Amino acid sequence: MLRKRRENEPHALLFSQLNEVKAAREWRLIPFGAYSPSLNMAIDEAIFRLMAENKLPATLRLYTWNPPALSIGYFQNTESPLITEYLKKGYPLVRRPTGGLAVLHKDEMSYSMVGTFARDGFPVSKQEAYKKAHESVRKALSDLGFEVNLYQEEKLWYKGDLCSSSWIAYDIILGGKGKIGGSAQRTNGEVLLQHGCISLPEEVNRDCLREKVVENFEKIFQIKLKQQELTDVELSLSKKLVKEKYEKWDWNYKGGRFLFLGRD
Amino acid sequence: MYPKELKYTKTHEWAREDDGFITVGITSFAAEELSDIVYVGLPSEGGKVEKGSSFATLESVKAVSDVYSPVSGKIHEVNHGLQDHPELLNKDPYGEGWIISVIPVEKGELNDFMNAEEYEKFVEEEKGK
Repeated sequence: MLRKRRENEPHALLFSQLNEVKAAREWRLIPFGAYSPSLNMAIDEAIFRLMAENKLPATLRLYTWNPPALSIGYFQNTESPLITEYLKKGYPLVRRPTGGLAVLHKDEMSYSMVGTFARDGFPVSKQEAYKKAHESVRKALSDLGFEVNLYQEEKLWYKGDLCSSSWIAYDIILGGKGKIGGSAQRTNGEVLLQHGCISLPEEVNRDCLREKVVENFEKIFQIKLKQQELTDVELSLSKKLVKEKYEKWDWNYKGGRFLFLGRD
Repeated sequence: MYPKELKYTKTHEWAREDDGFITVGITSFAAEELSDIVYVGLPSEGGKVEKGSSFATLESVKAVSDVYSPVSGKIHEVNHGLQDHPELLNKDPYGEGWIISVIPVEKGELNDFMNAEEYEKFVEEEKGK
């Protein structure tokens, strides 16, 4: 009887409306995995491309790299001495579909988020996406007891070809260590792919960090993350992109500046 | 505010028809939104472009964005100067910042696009979103 009465009360109605809003702001969470450099980039691009075609729900993916590898920006020149040095050390190289500078994916956690601007709680701009994703990671590390901040200067501080030595607003800074997290983006104007990498402090528990990152993405974006595997279509496009793009010398070593590959 | 002699797309490219050639670039609104453009990926002369498909890429502040062709056709000329001076897209988007000129497959394709006044309204709506 009490329950029935409460259902008819205004605040009960409001609660049910709120649930509907929450349901509308549900994103996919792709289960964590460690993949090859080419497959990681192919999966992120496949989600991005299919999102643009089918308006899939916004998607968050947490992942890492096996083997450790160097990823470089869409336009980055592989002839840089620093990149050559990493190649001599035997790290495989993959060119990202996104901008920015070289990142060594070793002892790190990567993430990608893909969504349609302003839909289902997805940010309205590239800047908002950068800030909110980094704030989610910052808060996750802070919850685990690390002293982390977001870089506050608007002006780019650039000191070389590595992402970690080039700081822009909202990059993730660990007290006493410097920049540990940055991201890069690709957009067709409607859909955004943003991926980034966090160099992990030695003492961090990786499982706990992943849980905290998911929890803080939900809080900061005001969304619900629902775990779902990649679809068969996403997987088959990923495999195709591995073969036709991310394992190709032309793409990895020449890239966007010298070789425009159409709607890559 | 936007040049009257040009036509505009919803993806913020401009197009101008001269003697059968169509020149394409990005609008001042797009350039401002992107902020400092540091790299440009250009297609090759003689290649084909498809209406609504990406024909170039731009990088600004770690973000790579696509530029879409308003028409289908063959690429007649590419502004290679942008590769060394991508800042021209920000400084002079309707002049020295042009990107390609195209020989269109069909005539009159630009008629479907917005004029300066309509584009200005469209941009205001976009800003309000």
